[in-house]
Amino acid sequence: MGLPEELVVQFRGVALARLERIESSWAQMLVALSEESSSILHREIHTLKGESRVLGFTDVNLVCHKLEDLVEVARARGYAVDEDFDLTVNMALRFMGMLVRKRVGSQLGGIDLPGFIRQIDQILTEARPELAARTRTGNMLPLSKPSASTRVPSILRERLAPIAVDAFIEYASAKGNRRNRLRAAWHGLREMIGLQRALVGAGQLTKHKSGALSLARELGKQLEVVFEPGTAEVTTEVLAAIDVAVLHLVRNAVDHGIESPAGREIAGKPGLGKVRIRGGMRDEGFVLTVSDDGRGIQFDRVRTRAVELGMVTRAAADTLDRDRLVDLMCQSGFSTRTEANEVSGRGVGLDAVRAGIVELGGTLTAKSADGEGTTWTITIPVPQLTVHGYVVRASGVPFPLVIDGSWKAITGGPAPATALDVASSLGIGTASTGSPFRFSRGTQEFALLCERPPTPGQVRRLIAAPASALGEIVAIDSIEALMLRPDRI
Amino acid sequence: MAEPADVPSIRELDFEAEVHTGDPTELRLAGSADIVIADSLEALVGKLHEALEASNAREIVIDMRNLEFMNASAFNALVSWLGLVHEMPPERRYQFRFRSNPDILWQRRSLRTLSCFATDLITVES
Repeated sequence: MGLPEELVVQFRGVALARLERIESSWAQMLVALSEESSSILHREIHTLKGESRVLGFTDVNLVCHKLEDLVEVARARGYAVDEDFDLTVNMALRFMGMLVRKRVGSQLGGIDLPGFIRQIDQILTEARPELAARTRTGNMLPLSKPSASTRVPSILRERLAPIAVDAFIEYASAKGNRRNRLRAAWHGLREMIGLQRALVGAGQLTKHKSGALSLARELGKQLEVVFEPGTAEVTTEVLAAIDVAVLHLVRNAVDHGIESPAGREIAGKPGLGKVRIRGGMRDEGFVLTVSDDGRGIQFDRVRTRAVELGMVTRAAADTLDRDRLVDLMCQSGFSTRTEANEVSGRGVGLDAVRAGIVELGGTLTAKSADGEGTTWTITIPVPQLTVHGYVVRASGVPFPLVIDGSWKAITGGPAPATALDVASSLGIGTASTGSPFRFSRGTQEFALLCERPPTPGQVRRLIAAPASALGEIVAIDSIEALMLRPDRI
Repeated sequence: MAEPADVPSIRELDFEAEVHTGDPTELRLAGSADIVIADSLEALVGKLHEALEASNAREIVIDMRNLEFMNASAFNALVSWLGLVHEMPPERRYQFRFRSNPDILWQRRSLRTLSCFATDLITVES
């Protein structure tokens, strides 16, 4: 027996509203990552999947399942997806809309559901084979996962960035088969050196809270973990460095810092030790602290151990202040433990933590008070991932340009004597039509030959290129554009 | 061929959409279609659908051979168009014949996916 028509009508309305919310949160995530949009996106898809299963819309349920896979792949890539991928997600939403509207039990007619699923599977396989093949566990993957096999070190990335900008211009102005070939080259470079976005927050770091509690149990210590890691849009490299840092600092705090319940009682402290993880965006970047109320760093032991390990002489060790001693603790091979235990003491923790942070231009510092505890502070500058600018369609240029928001579009006033023909300057054609539009920044001014007035908007940085490059590559939704540096033309 | 007065062409930036009436009527798309022209394209498609419906057309040819790029926002106009035809009584629905460029990868892929929406209404030539 079929479902009551009333229930089906109600489901249709609810499902279409969910599809709308999925579409708008998907579009939002392509511009800027946010916990809120991410959570709406996943929740709505998941709920729709469940509701469609319960109400017998098995076709909707199947596409929903595939959509969930697509979003999971996008999530692992920090939502930096190309046009084909965006188109597939949009088509999946429209396809579901069509399935929701059709009458329950009616024949599929010309709808080729298996064919559609095959198309999605193909995109999934191409986008990230290892993710597509992953068995779903119901757990969220980290919001973005850097692919170690294809990423190149930051110093090389900086050198390759201007080449990638040129590759983009060649690809985006090519036609036909040549465009397909250059597109593959550009995408390869983008994959290797592009800014990969990630969210740092509770979702990504919560494993360290349970890790700390489990370690405390193992060591017979009583522990409370206060977990307020904040949330911010960062790069995958920053997320990876923070992830490693929190892992090591929390383990160190539980192993070295927090005393046993008996030890705490002798020290006049409550038996329950406390580790606090707090983070958030500040002017200087993402700042995360790991504090404990344990015994504090035993600086005398650090001095003695540094001498034993031959890192400094006894005389020099006596002159070292606390900051310098912390610095020694972060050097390769240092450990106050004379025998490595199962938890830490192998001397591979803090130096790895600091190296990862310093490589990104960050710092790792510690403040400690005897008997009161230690606070480690990680500060990592985070590149600006979303910027304001003007979207410009320059005459003769087949892809959008962006003028960054440090420039202001001037309206009115006399027509400029000369205007920049970007198509000619880039060697990709000539501007045969268009009107000049002016921009100013302080005392500087220039005009561009454009097809339409510039429109302000928010763009996502894809390739961060040094100041010597023609510009950077950005994305407006999923459309790639050149953020031009007018002074480099 | 004359252009129907109520279905204006689009010539914006490097994108062109022209309607050529005849038997069958043809919509020629060329250049690069992105979010900037998505609304204009949706409006054109709506008007063209009305004209085709009014004339009891049996087929529309959509020539994409010179269409270099079309993003999701613009492509959605085509998906919505299919939705309009789906809403018509089966006997009055008209066919979509796409002419595609085999050298353009996204066309092959997108049209294959689009045809899954209505295999009985869509044919793709390359």
